[in-house]
Formats: sequence, C-alpha cells, structure tokens
Amino acid sequence: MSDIKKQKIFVDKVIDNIPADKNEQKPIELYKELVQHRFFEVISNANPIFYSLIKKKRLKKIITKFIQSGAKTDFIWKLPSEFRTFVKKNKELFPNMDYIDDLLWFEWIEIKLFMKDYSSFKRSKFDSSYLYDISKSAKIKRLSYKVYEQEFKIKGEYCVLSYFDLKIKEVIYREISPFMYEFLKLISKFSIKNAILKISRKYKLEPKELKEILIQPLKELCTLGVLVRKG
Amino acid sequence: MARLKGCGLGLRREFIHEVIPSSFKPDFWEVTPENWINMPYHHKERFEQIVYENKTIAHGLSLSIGSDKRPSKKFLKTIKEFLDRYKIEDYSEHISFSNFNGSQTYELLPLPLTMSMVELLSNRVKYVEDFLGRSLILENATYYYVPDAKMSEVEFINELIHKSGVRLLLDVNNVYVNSVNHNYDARKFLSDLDTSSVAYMHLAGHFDDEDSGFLVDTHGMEVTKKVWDLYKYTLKKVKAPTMIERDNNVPSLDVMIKEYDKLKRIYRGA
Repeated sequence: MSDIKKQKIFVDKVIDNIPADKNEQKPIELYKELVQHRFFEVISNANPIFYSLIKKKRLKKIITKFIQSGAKTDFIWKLPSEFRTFVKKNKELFPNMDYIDDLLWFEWIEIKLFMKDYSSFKRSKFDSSYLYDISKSAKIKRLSYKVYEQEFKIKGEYCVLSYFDLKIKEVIYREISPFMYEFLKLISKFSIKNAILKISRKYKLEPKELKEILIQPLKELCTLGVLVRKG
Repeated sequence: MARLKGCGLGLRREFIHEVIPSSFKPDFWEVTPENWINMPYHHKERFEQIVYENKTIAHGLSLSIGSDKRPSKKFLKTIKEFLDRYKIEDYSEHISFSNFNGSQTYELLPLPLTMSMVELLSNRVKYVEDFLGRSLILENATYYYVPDAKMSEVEFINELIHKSGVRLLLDVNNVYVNSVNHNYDARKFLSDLDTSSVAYMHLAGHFDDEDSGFLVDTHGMEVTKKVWDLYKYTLKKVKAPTMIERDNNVPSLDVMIKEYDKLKRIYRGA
C-alpha cells in the first residue's frame, strides 16, 4: 500500500469517515479530540453569541460535519469565514435559527475588520464636491434580524454599520436607518450631489433640505474613517 | 545576517505589549508566520519594532510538507514575503502533515516511517528551499500513532537528514513525550540521532492525559523536570541554540522570563 493511501485511511479515521480498528482506537480518539478541539476553540471564540445559543454537544456534532466538509484555509483565523459558508450550505443543521446568516456575518465582520492592516490608511475631509466610497475599515449590511442586540425573533429590515475605530483600536457597530444604508450604497456609485438627487427623487424629498440634513452625518463618517475619498 | 546563538523565546500576542516596556531582550525571538502574516492592527507597530530590532527566526505550522500534494505556490509566496519583509533567515517547520486532499486538520499528523516517505520529503525540502531562497529546518514532531513503520523514528530522521541535507530543529520535549508514549529510551534516541545537523532546539511543556494514556504535546504549561533533565543530557551531546515554546495558557511575560532565565543558566553552564 502506498504512503498516500495509508495517510488517507488514517485521516479518514481521524475525521470520522471510517471507524478505527479496535487496537488503534485510543490514539485515533486522541487525534480526533485534538482536531475537534482546534476547530471548536476557533469557532466558539470567534462566535461568542452563536456559541451562547447552542449546546456544546450540538456544536461539536456540527463541527465534526464541518471538518468532514473540508476546511481549506492555511490561516486558522480565517476559519470562521469558511464556517459561515458551511452553514449557508447546510441550513438543515440549524432548524429554528433563521437569523444564523446575519449573526455569523456580524461576528465574522468584527474579526475581519480587526485583522486588516491600516498602516497606510488615511482619513478624508468631507467636501461635497468629491467622490467618496466606504473605506476598507468599514462595512454596511442590511439584516433581517437585530442580531447586534441579540434579538432573534422579530424579523424586519435592520441596517448596521461596523467599522474599525483607529483611535480606540476596536471594532464598533451602530444601527443606521435603511435610508442611510441606501444613501451610503449610492455614494459608492455616484457623486454626493447625484446620490442626493437620486434618493430625494425616490423618497420625494427636497434635495437642498436633504443635503443640509446629510452634511453633518457625512462629515462624521469621514472623521471616523468610514467614508474615504475615491481615487 | 548574524548566526543564531544563545537562548530564545516564542513571541506571542498575549504578552507582546509587555515586551518593549520590560526591556527584555532574549538572544532571539521565534515567531509563527501564520499568526503574524495577518495580525490585529494594534499589534503591528510593536511586532515590527521587536522583529526589526532583534534577531528573529520563524517557525511555521501550515507547510504540511508530508501531504499528498506539495505546498502550494500561493502559500509559499505568502511565507516568503513575510520572511523577506522582516529579514528572517531561519525558517523551521515540522516533519508531519496537517492537510490532506486539500482539507485542513490544523494538527500535526504522523507520517509513515518509510523510505518512500523519506524520498518524498527530500524532494519537498528542495522544492521549498528553492522557492523560499533559504534553507529549511525541520522539527521532530510528536506522534501518538504511526500509519506504517518500516524503520524507527530515529532511523527515519537520520535518513531524512542524510538524504535531503535538511537541518534539524530538535524538540527535546517531543523526544521525551514520544519516548514515554512509545516506550523507548530517550537517551538512546539522542545517542542514535545524527546531531551534527541540529540548527536549534525547542523546549516546551506537555500534558499527562490520563483519559487517553498519552503524554500530549500541548505547549500549555511550563517545562517539566524530566524534560529539563533530558535537555541537560542533550547539551552534553550538542550545544545548539535553544528556545522555549508556549502556545496555550500563555502567561504574562514575567513568568516566561523566569523560565527563560532558567534555560539561560542551564545553557551557559553546559
């Protein structure tokens, strides 16, 4: 038998695809535990809210299936992102957890923003004549559940802004209105002026008044590094 | 680049903020590239100051040199960029595999102890060294099971050293743990081992897992007396630079410095 075949049989035993022989059960069990522990530690630490909602035994079973599905990343801190993908493809494992995609996004985005390199990051001053985009230190998302407030029952339309605060070096989130969410999406594509025109038409608002209302929040988002000048 | 010498310590996120204020300067630091290639932004400035101002070596986790497939160019490129960026010459990994068929276990898994595996590893060593532009150092890993053994562990390592020319990271704790788990004489192992290629040594703590009946290489506690004793014996055979690894239950820097000082006293006295 080739080395590769021997390795494959061993790995299959460790990840529970095939049973171990009786005389090798102890070491195989140990390897199973070591692998399981590594995954469990990363997933439970990265997803503290999710972990608080699920029994340890159940999470272990889910993680066994996740291990069998094949994690790819060489960098273990990225494992929660792969876990999100696994969850999306295996919804039957999460009955009565309709909020799970929202929750895992919310928990993963904190890690993702935390792990980015902001060495060359520069804040922009606000000037309505410039083009802006949402910076790499921030993400906005429309959610169906207020997972950031650990509210998992009332379905609706909830928008959240998560950003890395360079002063306090922490990831902060805040709820934003669906209107603001839509506007921030628009300014990634259009100038401030055109974005105001588009959204004012949609909501039947006066562009001049709208601009006056939006100027202060936009200035603040620039100060926070959430918005940066394009180009 | 200065040659590696003296005693070192593994740089960990848990105490990185304590390092500069403490003025503690080991002879060298060891860093795990996979843990620092991406790092929380607030660690970056301190990490770079420490690495640029001190002799630093790298000890990887994800190379998986004994896998069914050779390490990807994408992964090696990322490692090389990290090593080049921080001017790290010494890069060590493990005689093991951790991914198979593209799937990760994040655990160091045991290789078949066969000549064909020695051949495969030797080819991979050359491939990795050519790609990285630096020589590779490989560590004797712990194992709790052997998928197949046509030779003993020490014969396997010696064959690998001779065939590939790879330098050895001799983990003394792993020798001890393996000797207990597989019921062999650790001193005999060290006598039989070709120590001429030892680049440096590791010391770490292990856990006595009564449930499984194995000593488990956890790196989660201080070095045990029996491992210190084996290290003293090893030093008589080979006085190579040595460092302490702690990956789990990482204490404050003060605690690590005490263990480092103990290492330094033993090393100097040898």
